[in-house]
Amino acid sequence: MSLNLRDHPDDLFEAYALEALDAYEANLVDQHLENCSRCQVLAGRALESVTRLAMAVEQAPAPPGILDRVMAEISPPVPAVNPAVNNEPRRWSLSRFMLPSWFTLRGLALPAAAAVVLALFGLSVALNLRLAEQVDDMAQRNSTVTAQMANALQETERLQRETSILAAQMESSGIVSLGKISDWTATLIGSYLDAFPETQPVMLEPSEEHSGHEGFLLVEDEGMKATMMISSQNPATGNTPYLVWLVRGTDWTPAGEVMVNESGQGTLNIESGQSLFEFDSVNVTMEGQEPARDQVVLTSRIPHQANPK
Amino acid sequence: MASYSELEDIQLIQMTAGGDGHALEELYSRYSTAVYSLARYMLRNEASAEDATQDIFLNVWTKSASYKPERGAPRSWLMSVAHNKIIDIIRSQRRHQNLGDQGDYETLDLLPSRSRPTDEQAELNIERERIVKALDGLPEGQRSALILAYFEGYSQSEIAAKLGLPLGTVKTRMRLGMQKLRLELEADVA
Repeated sequence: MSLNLRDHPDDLFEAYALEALDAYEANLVDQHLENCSRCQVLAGRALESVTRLAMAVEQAPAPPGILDRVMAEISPPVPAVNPAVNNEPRRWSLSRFMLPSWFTLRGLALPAAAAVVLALFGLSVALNLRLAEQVDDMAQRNSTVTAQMANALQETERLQRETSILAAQMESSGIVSLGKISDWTATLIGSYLDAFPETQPVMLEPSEEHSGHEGFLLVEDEGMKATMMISSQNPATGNTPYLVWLVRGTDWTPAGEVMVNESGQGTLNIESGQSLFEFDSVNVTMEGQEPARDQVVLTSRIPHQANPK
Repeated sequence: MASYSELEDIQLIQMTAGGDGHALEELYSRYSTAVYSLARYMLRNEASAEDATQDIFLNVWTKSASYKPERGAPRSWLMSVAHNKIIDIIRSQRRHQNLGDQGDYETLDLLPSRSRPTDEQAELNIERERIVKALDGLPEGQRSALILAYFEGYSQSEIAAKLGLPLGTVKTRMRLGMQKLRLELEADVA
């Protein structure tokens, strides 16, 4: 099958979930899924269905002992403690409490020395055990931190991948730098481009006296639909809506109004009776203003359709 | 803090990724029956199934950090880890021992057990009967393709060679079979 990384491999998800793809195709699907959230959802659905096949076999509980072996494998090894213990039962007799014939003060010296040596040995074993416990504890904490770091690293890599895709898509749309737009707008645009890769973004430029504004028009469906996003750093206009105009020559056609929230952000879905690509530009003014070129808040020329069908 | 048994699967996987052995124990208590049963059926050997189950939960321990919710539910992820491991074992056995066909994939031993089930098993067996019924309802070619792939670990090209069919036919049968199975099971729930 001819397949490249940019194709959505819709026909392969069932076989992928069944693990029945040949290595080459499985590898391509793997790589595609790394960067395509749409296909991640579809592959996830296929996997859900395939998983149910596992329940078609007769269910029998796992024999005891497996969990213990698993837990032993994941736990840090506990040092074996094997003190030389005489397990033979002690034999007590009355004679033990009588003074033996060899008992003298001089005769006490050797047992006393032995007792000191034994005590020191016992102390040493106890300290070693304590030390070993601390080492185990540290090893366990270390493995936890390592796992958390691996998680964080993966998340960072995922975000980097998404950012680079977004940057590439924006660059291809003529938007050179992500720094031009706010995080809010970038996130919204990212979501749209992710969900609708055919979308053509158009960045609107603020006029000099409205430099705190930014606007984006995301055109889809061959110009028949679009989404306008407006973000204002100084939403001093209160409840005053922004008016969106599609301009052709000297004709200004109203396309709708955008109400911004307290944070100065708002969107408008535009469904036009004719393709937006037939207009020259899109302008945004504030309500109450006459539609005049010198009073626009945001404006952009509408480029020719990127990929005419 | 809630006890482990009250936590969602996804929380347990995240905690397992953070090195929490108790979370893994809870996942084991929830899924060991399904994992072991699948391994026992596919490997057709209880000792191998025990070893496989152990390896699978060790894989869950080491791979839980790679779980991505957008790629499927925790149960699907865990069972795919299990299936992947079992398939590896089957393919390795096939390579090293040049195993012949199991030959009995048609019957699949999927009939309900006659032994008296526990409550948990009874619930699992209801689910099982629904899936077996849905599988039985598929056209023979689609059903065989799914069973050879999922339970016997054959790739599409191996199935094509085994059945003497064009690869495209096997791909189509597999895709249609899964789509029909999904519809059937969804309709059953509705």
